[in-house]
Amino acid sequence: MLKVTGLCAGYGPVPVLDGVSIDVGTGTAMAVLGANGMGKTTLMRALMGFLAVTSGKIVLDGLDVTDQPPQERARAGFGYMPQGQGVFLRMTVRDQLRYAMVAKGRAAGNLSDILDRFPVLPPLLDRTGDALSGGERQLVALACCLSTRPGTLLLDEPTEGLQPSYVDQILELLTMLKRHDSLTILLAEQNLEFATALCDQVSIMRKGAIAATAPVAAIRDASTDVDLLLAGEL
Amino acid sequence: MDHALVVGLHLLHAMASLALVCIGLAVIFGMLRVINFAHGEFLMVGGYAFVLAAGAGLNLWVAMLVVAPAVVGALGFLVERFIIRHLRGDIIATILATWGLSLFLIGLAATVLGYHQQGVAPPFGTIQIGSYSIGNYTFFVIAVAVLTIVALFAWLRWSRAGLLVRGAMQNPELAAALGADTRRLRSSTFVLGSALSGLAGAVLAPLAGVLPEIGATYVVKAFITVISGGATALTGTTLAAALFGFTSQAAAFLSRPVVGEVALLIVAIVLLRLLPTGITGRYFRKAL
Repeated sequence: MLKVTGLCAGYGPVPVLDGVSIDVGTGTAMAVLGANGMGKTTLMRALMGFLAVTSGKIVLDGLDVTDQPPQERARAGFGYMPQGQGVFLRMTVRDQLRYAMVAKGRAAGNLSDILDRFPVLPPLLDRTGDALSGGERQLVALACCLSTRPGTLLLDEPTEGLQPSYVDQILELLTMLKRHDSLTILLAEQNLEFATALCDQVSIMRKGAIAATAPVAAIRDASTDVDLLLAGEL
Repeated sequence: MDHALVVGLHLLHAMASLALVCIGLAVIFGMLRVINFAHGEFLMVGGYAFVLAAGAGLNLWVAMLVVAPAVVGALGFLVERFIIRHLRGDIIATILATWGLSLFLIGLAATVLGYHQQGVAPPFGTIQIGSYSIGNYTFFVIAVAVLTIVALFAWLRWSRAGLLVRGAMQNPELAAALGADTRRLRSSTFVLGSALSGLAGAVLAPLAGVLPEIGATYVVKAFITVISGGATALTGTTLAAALFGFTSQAAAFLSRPVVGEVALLIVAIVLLRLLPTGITGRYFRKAL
């Protein structure tokens, strides 16, 4: 379970997040939707510990991680898939997956577990990160993120640059993990269709604050309003 | 034939010596991107640790292969913990701080140990190749350089710690997001690079001797070699050391040692003009 209360953070003297509060229950998913520049990525980076929090609280599964460094948050259960370049460019995909398995100090598991979930990966195992396409990098980043066996996933626009068939595969996989492994998911997205298909709740982010939160069913019924909210016109 | 064999051995020795001088910097600057201007003094401290320990009656090999790396590794731990870590990657501050450290170590060595050269006679005696006599220690230096490089390759390629270090050096933020303790990895990598510099300083001490300012003769060549090696630090440094060591020694044979030094610089300038990102910026990109 992820509970964020009154989170404020920014880049140096420039404030970006303005009192964000979020509550994501175990085994549920929340999407944070918003246009570019509204603070979605900043929220993800602040939750993961890459930006200093000026006020507010982040509680993960009952543990206050607000002052913890990123690796401690990862060890507490966060899995973070950053936007764009979430891979090591000069390391083979095989080593990246091994890395994700052992980074928290655990014994290396069997690669076949993760490869079964990502059928596109086996032919890519000996390629380095810089030899992958944008979409392949997204998939490798997600596979690495899941290989750390997180309890709560922070996904920053995971479908960006992905072909539709890969988007469907990811949707199916994440839905399965949410249901069967009680994975908690916080998703920053602009792809409304993907977000509403995966998530139970949707929040609209505008100017660093949560402007509205609603169950996904309500959003599906009022897609016009969501479009306007995303465009910052409501 | 004998002449060719002796020339070949000298060329190999020059390549191995340069690789040894550079290997610690390949780890500290090539991998961690820490500009350690005190690298030459790390070698100097390694040399003194060996000479003093051996002079105090300790077994020669323990003094060289254990004491010197341990002393400089400990020095590296303190430098990383109390200086480098607090500079948070600020390049100018790091240059100034390590330059200051370099001057401090030179001054300290001169004050405590004096300005005269100290050394240990190269062990193993000599071997006769035709009418030429060559020190057996030459073979030892080549062997240590090869073994050190191979061990470092193996560690980076196959060990779990090596894998974690590689990721933390390439993309610290991603490594931390996956749960790796990047601060500890940086610290232990700095200690490893320091210990390797200490080993190099000790291994070269019987040939070059030790004096407080000997670091200056190492540091420029080391930086030129590691920079010419490019982004893939270990492979790049090994290849650049082989190229520069060969060129420098060959030119020295054909003319005199100072011409060898000039040849090294000319080759480095031409190489960086043709390959601005170093050897591994274009070739061997998958290497370590």
